Amino acid sequence: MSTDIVVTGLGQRSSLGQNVSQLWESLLAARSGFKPLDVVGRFGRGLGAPLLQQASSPSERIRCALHSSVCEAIGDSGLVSTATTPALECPAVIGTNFGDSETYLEHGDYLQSARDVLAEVGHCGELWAVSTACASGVGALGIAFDLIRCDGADVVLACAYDVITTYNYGGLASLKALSPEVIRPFDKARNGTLLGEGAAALILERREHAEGRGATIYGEILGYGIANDGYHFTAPEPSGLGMRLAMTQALVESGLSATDIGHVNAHGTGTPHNDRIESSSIRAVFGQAAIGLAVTSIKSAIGHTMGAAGALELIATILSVRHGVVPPTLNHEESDPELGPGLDFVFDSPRSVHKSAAMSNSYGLWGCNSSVVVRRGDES
Amino acid sequence: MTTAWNQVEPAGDASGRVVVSGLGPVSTVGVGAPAFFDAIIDAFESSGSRSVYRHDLKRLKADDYVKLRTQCVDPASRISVIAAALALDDAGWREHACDPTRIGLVLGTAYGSHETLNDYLRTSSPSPIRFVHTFINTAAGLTSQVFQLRGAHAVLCSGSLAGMQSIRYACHLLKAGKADRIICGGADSATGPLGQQNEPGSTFANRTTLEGAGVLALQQAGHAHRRPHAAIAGFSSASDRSLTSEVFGRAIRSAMRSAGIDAREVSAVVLATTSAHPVPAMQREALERLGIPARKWLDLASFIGDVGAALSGLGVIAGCALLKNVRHGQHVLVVGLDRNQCDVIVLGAKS
Repeated sequence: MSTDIVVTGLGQRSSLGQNVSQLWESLLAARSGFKPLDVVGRFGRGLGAPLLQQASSPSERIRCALHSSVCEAIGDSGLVSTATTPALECPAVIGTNFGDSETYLEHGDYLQSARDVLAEVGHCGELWAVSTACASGVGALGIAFDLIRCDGADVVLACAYDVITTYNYGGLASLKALSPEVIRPFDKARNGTLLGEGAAALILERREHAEGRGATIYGEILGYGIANDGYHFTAPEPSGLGMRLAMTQALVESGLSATDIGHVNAHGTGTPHNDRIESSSIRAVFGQAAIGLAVTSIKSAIGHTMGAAGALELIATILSVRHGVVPPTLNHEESDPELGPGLDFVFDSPRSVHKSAAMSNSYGLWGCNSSVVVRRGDES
Repeated sequence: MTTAWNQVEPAGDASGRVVVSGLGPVSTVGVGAPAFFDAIIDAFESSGSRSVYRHDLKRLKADDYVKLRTQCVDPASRISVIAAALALDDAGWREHACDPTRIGLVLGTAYGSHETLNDYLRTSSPSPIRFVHTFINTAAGLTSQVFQLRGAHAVLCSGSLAGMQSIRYACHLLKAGKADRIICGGADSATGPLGQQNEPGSTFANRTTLEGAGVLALQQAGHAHRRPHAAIAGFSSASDRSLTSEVFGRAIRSAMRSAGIDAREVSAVVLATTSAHPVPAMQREALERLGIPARKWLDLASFIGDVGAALSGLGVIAGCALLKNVRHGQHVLVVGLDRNQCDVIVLGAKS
């Protein structure tokens, strides 16, 4: 039985659109989803990238974003149109950093809104959930990948979400992680990140199962890596050990060499530490292949969507290899010599890429690191 | 095309290539494998009538088990660190030089840092350190930090089954070569705001919510420093719109099939299911229909309480205790339930 694992459905909801087409079009047009936030309460008004259609409470925004994303991905995959699918019986994996903090506090259920959404769409398969801070999106993807590879599932729904709340905005502000003005990943003047919110969903499927039903194949997941710094609860390990471990695991599992990778959709938070250590880690892992390697961060357009970031950025990475174009990193003013020579940061406007494979990185507090390698769907 | 989606079976080797090398039980009935084993065997032989609450886990100090560089501000983190220390020592991994980048950690939790979050949100000015300790992955992050576990890392938070899923995912990671050894299982503390809600009429009415951790050290067979406690022989998961005896029976049949055994080779069934589920009759019906008599069942939650995701981790450790004196070829089923889902792990005795 083939263990090629492909992506046959995509869905998203974020500040840059209510579906995947709108997001992709906005990213290539270098649009930004930032505006003053009205959800941050006692911490004052800051900038962020909220959902286009605001709902009143965090739980309602989770439901709105996740329901929209999951429905889009399922519809996009064509799974619901088949007569043999009376309900969505496949396993589902949820990734989230902050979960549903309202229902969590009240009832001890971290996932109540997500459970409700999955029940609404008819899901009755087994449920998994992962929370590795802002690396949760790739964490969900990884579990979904292994449920197909190791357990024989044909299809798995992987989704991730997070929304901006008074609690997480205030906490990240207290960590001095937020920029007072604008997010400039990999720029000399970078001074912090800005939050975004949203959800993303992907349908992962065994290739022969997907081909058997004539599904559209957006891309192939070749491998992923997850590692921990074992170092500090906020600061990344200075040498980038955990980042390098995750990238190396993903590359090794993919069976590709570093020269096969055309671009990296970086974690790229715009914080001084992350961007410096991530850049040096990419150079260390890719070696000579890092010279001219395209690197971008879409957080400059949609903000740091926390637990959803890995899944949203994976969608962008899959579309990049599918269409041969990398969306730009916005707000560039001056290159940072500290980030070293070699890497080709994609600033300001989209860049064509000709290689069919790419890597996406996501990192989180408590030393969480994750990377995933994808390839165009027709390259098997 | 949807066949077997909700009846997952292992595609790879299910012959016991992943073994349980170390155990870290932290429970009110015993801390450490010897004490916990005694309590479990006593409970099993007396059909659960003799075991009682013995330990106040709040008195346990992480410093007694490992030299900490940091303060454990969260109760779940404290017991997670203690359980991991016990499992690492039991496996002999702390006395042998092991590459820390090849040791992973996959921890399940239902309640995470609930108590810390509750305290944090009551304060008028947010502390950055306390904020970070409100994350549900705090216990896992701190445990990785304390023991320098830098390999594959994940925190599962789907609820009571998260401990069991962590063991299954750890097997995936080992089989995929992402780690050589993995610390996994469940840890939870619900003695704070959640535990106080257990009065009649509250959300958690009729539940005995306690705290505990059930942490295991897993690795590929043949690499163990010491004789393993058991082999992971198979697992399954079944679900439907609601939990029925049919779902329960399907999960057990699927698990036995994945391990290549029948009911005659099952020496015990550990029911690591919480009292919040109206399932005792359902379990009884399904097990009797499968030919597994009541004398072989151990209802774990009835004497160690609802310990969230720790329950299923402790269930697997209880399974190892019950395998201790059985002959090679016998197996223990560990059954976990949450909402509409039933997961089963099959443990095999090691000769």
